[in-house]
Amino acid sequence: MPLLEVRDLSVSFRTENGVVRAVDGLSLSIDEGDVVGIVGESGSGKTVSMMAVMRLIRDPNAVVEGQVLLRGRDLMQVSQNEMRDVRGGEIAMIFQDPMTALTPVYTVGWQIAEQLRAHEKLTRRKARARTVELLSALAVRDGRKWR
Amino acid sequence: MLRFFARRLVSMVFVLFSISVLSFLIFFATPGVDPAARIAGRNADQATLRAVRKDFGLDRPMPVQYALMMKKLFITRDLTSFVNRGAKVIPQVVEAAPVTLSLVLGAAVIWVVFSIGMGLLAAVFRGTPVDAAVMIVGLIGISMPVFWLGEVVNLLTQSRFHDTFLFSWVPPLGYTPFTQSPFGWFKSLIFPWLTLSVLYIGIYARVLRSALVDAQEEDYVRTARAKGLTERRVMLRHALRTSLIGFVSLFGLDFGALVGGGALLTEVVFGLHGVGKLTFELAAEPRPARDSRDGDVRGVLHRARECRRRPRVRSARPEGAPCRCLRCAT
Repeated sequence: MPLLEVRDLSVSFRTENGVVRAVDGLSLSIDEGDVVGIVGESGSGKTVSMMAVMRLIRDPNAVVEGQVLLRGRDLMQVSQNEMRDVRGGEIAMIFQDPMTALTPVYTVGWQIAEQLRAHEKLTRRKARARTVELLSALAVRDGRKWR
Repeated sequence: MLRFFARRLVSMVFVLFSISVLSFLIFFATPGVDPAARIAGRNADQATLRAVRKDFGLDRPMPVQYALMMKKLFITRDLTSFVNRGAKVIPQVVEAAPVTLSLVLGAAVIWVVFSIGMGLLAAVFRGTPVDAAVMIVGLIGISMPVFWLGEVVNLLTQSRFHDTFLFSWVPPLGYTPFTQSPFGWFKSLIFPWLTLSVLYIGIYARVLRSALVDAQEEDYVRTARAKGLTERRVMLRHALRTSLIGFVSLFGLDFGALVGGGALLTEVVFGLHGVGKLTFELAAEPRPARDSRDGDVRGVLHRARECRRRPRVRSARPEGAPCRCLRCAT
């Protein structure tokens, strides 16, 4: 069984000028250890597809169809609570443009620790230590500074 | 952090100095206006005018006048009102300040708490009847003028239902110092607080709701959701924190205006002798005719009807006697 399998995923938006089909029947399959890149020009639907996989499209005018199987479990059918465990726990997404993709009133380290603590039982101190570890592993010079 | 405060403090001193110079110039250097006559009041005699000129150094250069004024305000603290029978200005303001501060601080706590609650509620339930209901309640609050609401509150708590168990605990209008009785202070201010905060609750709830709704479109809120945070955490820690920026700026402006006398109507309606009441009394001052009917709307209108300026209305006044209605007297 593949790690992640997307079957016939389509996303459409109802707009004033009719229905716009942003993703039309995308299927892909990723095995454990695979590195897969999706390439396309701007506006071709790369982001929308992956947002749909994580069920992050909240627009009330969006219609998402198809199946997303994570280890055989259809993410389109699970509850919001279960989906929360998947997001940032099993599937992570790194958005472009860190200037706007991170909350401006917290430090980067705070936001990393927040995600760690959302998925594991960690004390504040341990989460902080793990954050420093992660930042140092990414060769951020002096990971401590970014806490 | 400490350096931030130090920097702010220094710039504050500059701002205060500039404001003092500007307001000084408005009063003392406006062309065509004799400041002595303004200070001495209406129809002052020559002796008073001379005393004012000497007292305020009006025959000396501007900077000296400014320095004299500052000395009267901060060092000797004996700035005297000629209009108001020689009342000392500084003690009056010092006496009024705690009343206004109590009123405004209490109201601010209420309006911040309630508007954040209502704004969050409306934003979380955006587009549902809950949202509409909260916003309508806010709009009603904005639409009620504070003097009317205050009078209605007084009518209910002081008169109509004062003898029922609901409002029998409400003390008569006026202010009880906190140092005298904390509970009495609270009881005497709770209705003024609520009345004053109603307007701001409405405004701030709407401001916050729109900021929260805008924040939903922000990339960092999407990131917060992608991290698998609970909806509550996304809302409170990420959307609310950043949405409060406009809220806080607005709060600074409104709070400052209220402390500076903006709560005038509330203070007058509830008989609180605060900074706003001083303003009110000053504005009401030039009426020379003071009798028991002063301030009574019916009395003023009655006299206006007798006024010489409306000859078609039959005069109840003796022939030739001066009219004392507001328009003629001033």
